[in-house]
Amino acid sequence: MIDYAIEVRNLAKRYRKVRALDGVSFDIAAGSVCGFLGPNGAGKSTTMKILMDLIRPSGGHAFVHGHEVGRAGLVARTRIGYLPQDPVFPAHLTVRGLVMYTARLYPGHPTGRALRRRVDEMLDNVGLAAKARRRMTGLSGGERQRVGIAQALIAEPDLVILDEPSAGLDPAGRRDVLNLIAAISGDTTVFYSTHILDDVERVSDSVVMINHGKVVAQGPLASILEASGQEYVVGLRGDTTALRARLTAEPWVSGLVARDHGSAEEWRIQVDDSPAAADGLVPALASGEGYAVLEFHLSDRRLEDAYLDLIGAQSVE
Amino acid sequence: MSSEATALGTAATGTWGVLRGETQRWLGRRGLFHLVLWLAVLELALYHAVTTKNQPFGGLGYESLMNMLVISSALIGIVLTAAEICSSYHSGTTGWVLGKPVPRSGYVVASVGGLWLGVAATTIFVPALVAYWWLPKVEPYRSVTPEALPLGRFLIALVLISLIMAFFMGLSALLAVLFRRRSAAVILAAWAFLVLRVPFPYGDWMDYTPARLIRTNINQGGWSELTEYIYEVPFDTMSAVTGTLGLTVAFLVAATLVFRRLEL
Repeated sequence: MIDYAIEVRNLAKRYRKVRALDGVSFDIAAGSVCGFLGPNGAGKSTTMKILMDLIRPSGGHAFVHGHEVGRAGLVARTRIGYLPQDPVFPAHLTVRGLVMYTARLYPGHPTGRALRRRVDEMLDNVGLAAKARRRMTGLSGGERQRVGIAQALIAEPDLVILDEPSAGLDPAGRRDVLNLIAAISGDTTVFYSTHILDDVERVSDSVVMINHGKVVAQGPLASILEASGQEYVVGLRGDTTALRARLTAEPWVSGLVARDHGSAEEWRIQVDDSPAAADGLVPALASGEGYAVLEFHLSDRRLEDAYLDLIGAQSVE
Repeated sequence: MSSEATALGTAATGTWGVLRGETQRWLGRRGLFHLVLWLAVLELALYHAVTTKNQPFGGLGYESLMNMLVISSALIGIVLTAAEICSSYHSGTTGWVLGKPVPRSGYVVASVGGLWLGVAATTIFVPALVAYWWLPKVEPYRSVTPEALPLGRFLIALVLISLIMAFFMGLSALLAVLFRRRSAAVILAAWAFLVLRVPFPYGDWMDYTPARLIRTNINQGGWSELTEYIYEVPFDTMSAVTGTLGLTVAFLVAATLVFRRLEL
């Protein structure tokens, strides 16, 4: 039996006439690192805020480690570390003071020297040991985000919810955040939202995609990539009119994008029935006349392609 | 039962953490800055009042001190509470704290409570005790009251001023969570202060508010009940004290009920 850290069932949220969430359902297995993807306004932050009991859903249920949010949100939050989007921390606190303040909000927190040692270790992990005595107002955006990660992890939670943890970070800062996520994965469930799909591919094992308040895809990253279809890259020279007409008529071709490179063309052929494409594409290319095939290979399909297929299609609708 | 106990323990830990943080904030470096600034303003104003007025009786120095403390503590309490609640709400700091195991009711009570403890110490007790020490030493005040007032009664009067401050902070907190606009909360709470302060005829129900403690009584030479008390005049305003305490609690309860429904 799978142990779920998060279970969401038909979650809905309305703001007057706007449906921010419209029947969102997904599960996140304990110990996984799940990227939460979607365009701006898709409902990612709303979902996360409902999980943190900061806003009330208009319908549906959400459970964190079996505790229903809303009814037992307080107890559920003892096992969650949370970093909101664009967090504003109390300006009067130092870096160490803020992480210590956060630690003291959790039941069973260490005290005295043990607490100071724990806080110093955490600041060392996020690379802020040298700036422990600096006030929050004197930190750069990337440093503030690292403090945000530190305060989310200080209570050694079972679940970490991070709303765009790499937003505003430079490449080095992004790398550090990803390394931190990778370091805690396994023992800790990480549920984080982001727009940086490369990051998701690097550290996530599962993905939930949301658009217009509805889940458009969810599951293991490999399944998402596979389910979104395959793409072949074909390089051609010559008269390809007949070939294009023939291929676009094939039922297993879901899309064909051609790019003109002077005397040659590059075609990207999306297929949604891989076996049929494997059987049919090569004979189709070989049977034509008046053109030469310069290049032919299966594209190294990435999450960005899957995302654009799934979210892009929805956005057009 | 066990989950209830866990929830209670969690709530207590979170609330205590916020209370501790808020109190430390106002008693730390920031509090020291406020204290020095406030000491300078209050003591200089008091010195000016004491040394330039033609005083027919010796209590005017303490009367001035009590008046200054009542007015300043109420208004400072109103402004700081409204600013604290509204700015934390709009900046997202409230949402960040409540993302931790902190109950909403505990957050409101601990925020206002921590603010009250810290600000009462720095704007009421320390300046008042400093004034208590130097007032009898200053001419012409020294010639009319060569001895200091009983310290016990003076301290109790300061506790009552702190209660008055808590009353207006509770009112400001309720207005702040209702309107989420600092200006609206400050204007309405300050208006309530003026209504309770200005001496015009009022109904018996006002005896259960801070009005009886803070308004000046023309028949008593412009003294308030609070000032009379420190001169060992028998105290007959317990209804005002209990009423103020009850209303403070009621404001905070109402504020937590409204706050629990807020979306962050």
